[in-house]
Amino acid sequence: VEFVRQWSVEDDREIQAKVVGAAYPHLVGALALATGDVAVAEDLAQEAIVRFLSKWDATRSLDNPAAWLYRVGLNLARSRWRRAAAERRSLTRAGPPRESRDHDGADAVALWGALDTLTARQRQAIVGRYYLDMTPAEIAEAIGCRHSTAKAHLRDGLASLRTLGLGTHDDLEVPTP
Amino acid sequence: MIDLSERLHRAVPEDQPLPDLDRLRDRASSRNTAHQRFRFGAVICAALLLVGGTLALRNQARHSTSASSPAQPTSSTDVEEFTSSPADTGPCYQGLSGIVFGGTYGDGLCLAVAPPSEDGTMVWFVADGTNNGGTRFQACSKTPAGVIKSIGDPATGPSFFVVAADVTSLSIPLDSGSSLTAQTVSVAGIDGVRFAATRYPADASVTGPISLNTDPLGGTVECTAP
Repeated sequence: VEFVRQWSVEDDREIQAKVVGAAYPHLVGALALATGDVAVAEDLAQEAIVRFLSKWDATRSLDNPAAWLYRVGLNLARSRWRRAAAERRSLTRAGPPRESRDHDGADAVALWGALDTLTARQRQAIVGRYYLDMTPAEIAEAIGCRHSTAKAHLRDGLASLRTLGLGTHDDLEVPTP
Repeated sequence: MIDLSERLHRAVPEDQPLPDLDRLRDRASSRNTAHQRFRFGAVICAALLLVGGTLALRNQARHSTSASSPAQPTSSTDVEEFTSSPADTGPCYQGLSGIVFGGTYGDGLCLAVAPPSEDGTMVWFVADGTNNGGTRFQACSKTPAGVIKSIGDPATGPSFFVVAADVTSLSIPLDSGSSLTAQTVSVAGIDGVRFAATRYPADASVTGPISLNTDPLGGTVECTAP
């Protein structure tokens, strides 16, 4: 039996700071794109980080912490929407205040408008794939559906975006039998 | 055509200031504390219900048999009290759960068990919140029969022991003429060894070799890992 170096409090804190520092900006971005509101996304991201830290014995060994955080963030968003039906209606129909999400001029406005045309699942899948580089399997886990359904959301979402002049090079564009 | 991925990245600010991690840690910590209190309350309620139910059943059985059976004299038997025995599983150290020891000489001692990985399972030896080091065990890790691996000061301070799988307890002779008994415990996923932990009375020291109490059946556990 070989004894290894002593564990220290700093080890965990350093790992946490590193993981959170790398994941947080993209987590906020992804949740902003998925929910349509940067301010809401910041709240969701911080709550997801709190849950990540509170379950450290399990989350410390995750292969893809960003995917886990995105899934938790989406779950929190769904809970929030369920709790406030009126807020949900305002989010899905009218969209959030424009000033909360305009970031890069006309191009970004066009993108936000295009995302608003997608269903919630399509939007979450597109963001997971093209913003967080998640695999379809990870997307399926994040949004709570089957792998084939996640691919269908991606395919349909891309088709909608393409009609609005947005596209990408991805084999997922090709409909699978 | 600008790639969709690039457009998405341009559409949101990616220079978000990081939140105060210490504040988030505090929130995580207070949440865990609340969950633990809730869990503790639930366990107490379940225990009370169990005890109440058992007493009620026993009372009922006594009443139903007292009429037909003459009263038997009760005989007291000596019950060996483990001075250090595994009390529970639960939070142990820095977000790791593990096996918590209890009793007068086990209080404050625990084995923090990290989630298993391809490299094995890491077990940390924690006394009063201080980590005394750890060891990585494979599923089939073995300690030769009769050999004790100890961590800490086996004469006076908090001590942890790693022994063979068939060892059920350790008897530690003290200079006062009495002895401590430390019950061993197994850790899930580690089949070949068992663990024990104990501390010593402040005015006592170990005076002789530690003896191992074994159960032959404990040694027949087959390691099933590949």
